[in-house]
Amino acid sequence: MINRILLIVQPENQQHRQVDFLTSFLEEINSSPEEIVFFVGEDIGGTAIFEQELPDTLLERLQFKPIPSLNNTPNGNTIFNIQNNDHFLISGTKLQLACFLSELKLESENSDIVAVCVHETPDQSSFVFHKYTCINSEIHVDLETVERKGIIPASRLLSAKSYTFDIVNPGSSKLSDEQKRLLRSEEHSPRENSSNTVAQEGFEFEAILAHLISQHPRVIETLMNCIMRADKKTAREEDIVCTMENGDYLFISCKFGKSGTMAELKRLANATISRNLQPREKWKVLFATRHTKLELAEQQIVEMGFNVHAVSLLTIKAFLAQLN
Amino acid sequence: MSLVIIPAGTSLLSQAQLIQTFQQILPDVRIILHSRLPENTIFPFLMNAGGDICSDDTLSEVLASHEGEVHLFFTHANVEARMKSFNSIVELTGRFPTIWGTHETRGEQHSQRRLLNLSSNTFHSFTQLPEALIKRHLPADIPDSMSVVWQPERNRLKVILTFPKVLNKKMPVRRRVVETHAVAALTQLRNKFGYFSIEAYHDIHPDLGTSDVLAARLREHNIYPVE
Repeated sequence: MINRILLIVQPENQQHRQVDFLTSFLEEINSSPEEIVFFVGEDIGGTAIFEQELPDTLLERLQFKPIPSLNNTPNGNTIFNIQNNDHFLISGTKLQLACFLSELKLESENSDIVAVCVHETPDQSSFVFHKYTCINSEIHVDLETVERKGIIPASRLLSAKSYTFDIVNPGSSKLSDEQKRLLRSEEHSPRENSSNTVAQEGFEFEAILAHLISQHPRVIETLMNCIMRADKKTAREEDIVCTMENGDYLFISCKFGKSGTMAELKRLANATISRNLQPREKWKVLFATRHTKLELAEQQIVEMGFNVHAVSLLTIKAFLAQLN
Repeated sequence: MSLVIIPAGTSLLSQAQLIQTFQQILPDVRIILHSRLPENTIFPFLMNAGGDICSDDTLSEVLASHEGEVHLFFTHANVEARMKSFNSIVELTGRFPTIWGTHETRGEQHSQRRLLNLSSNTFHSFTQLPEALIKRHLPADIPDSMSVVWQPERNRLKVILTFPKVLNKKMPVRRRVVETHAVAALTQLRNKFGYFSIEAYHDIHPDLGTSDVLAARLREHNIYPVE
């Protein structure tokens, strides 16, 4: 039985993640806490995201308590007033976690107490529970790792980073006649490497690929036209991003025209760095190209040792099927 | 004798500074760097600075035979590494360690960075590392577009990325290449010294086409306009 869940509210751009953390955690433990206490620093700004996104049943048990700002955190007073069976979802600054554990040390010297700290693994696939049982000033620690059941769709990650995007609905997604023609030509009479293409065909290529991906049973979400703006200008644009049933994310760049395969592969090889994709362990980078250019792309990937996969409209289904 | 444990993943610059600082604060101290891959992470300075580098097994042996106070520096490594060191201490001694951390106050007029004992709520000044020591360990291949300045009072490197004044507007990929190279070079430095050992800034000339777009993209990597 959990007495209280304690959490330190992060800045607004990280609060979506905290909602996911809290709701996934509650699903895993299948238990209902008496109270959920959010500690809020004066320099955090708003907390409206929690009120918008948490279910009413949780909001009823939610309390907000002030926590000193980073400049003032250690003032010799207790911050958390730890109670028996508190669960602290590790959040806030490193110093604030240090304050929690130091307060637990102090509490354990005065009374018997059990407290649990919980954090996610770096790839966000599991929760790690650190349970401290303090009896007669002797401390016992139990560790448990619990696999996360729910998947965080890429749309959540991108929304938190202020991207806009179109979600491809697998139920209603259909190919236009033009797109069907292009797909047939890739299947039956693919064009030579050197043949010219028009810009519109590039857009059709993206749409076909997104359609094929969205129909695959292992894909749970497909996004297109993912755009981040800065002062009304496009600062980033990603062709296709999708979420797999195992929680992996695919970042797909489409190149249907003649432009340099090698230059694009080089750029993609640094995608997880240059685009700060998190959690890095879960992102796979794909280069989608015309079928006639696939072999060349694969050769270049092997020669240069790039951590990129090449696919075409004809190989994408097989690629998705073999992913672990 | 008291024991100070510094978790794996604490940046090299912090390790170096902490060894010197704890040696001044605590009489008769033994300092342990709880390390995963000693050969790859050793900052040469640390080899003869007075810190012992211990793997999990060696740390267990040390803790099992130690009877004095155990201190843990807790605020620089990632959460897994910090909790691992914390739990090792609790499991092997049956007690919580005394926790230490870095406390920073940031103000427009005055910023201060001090070492804090959270049990006694006492603050201590850090020993400053000499610039010559840091310079000796900077990579030899720092690109011309990157300036690196040592800030002893903050124990951090200040890195400023500069960009050409003009990029070829007809070739948008060129801007991406420049951006990727800059971020990759910075990442290399962050990997060597630790993410939080580096304060990163960019100096983009306002005449540079799409400078605001580039600034937005660099902000994603915690690279901010130079002050």
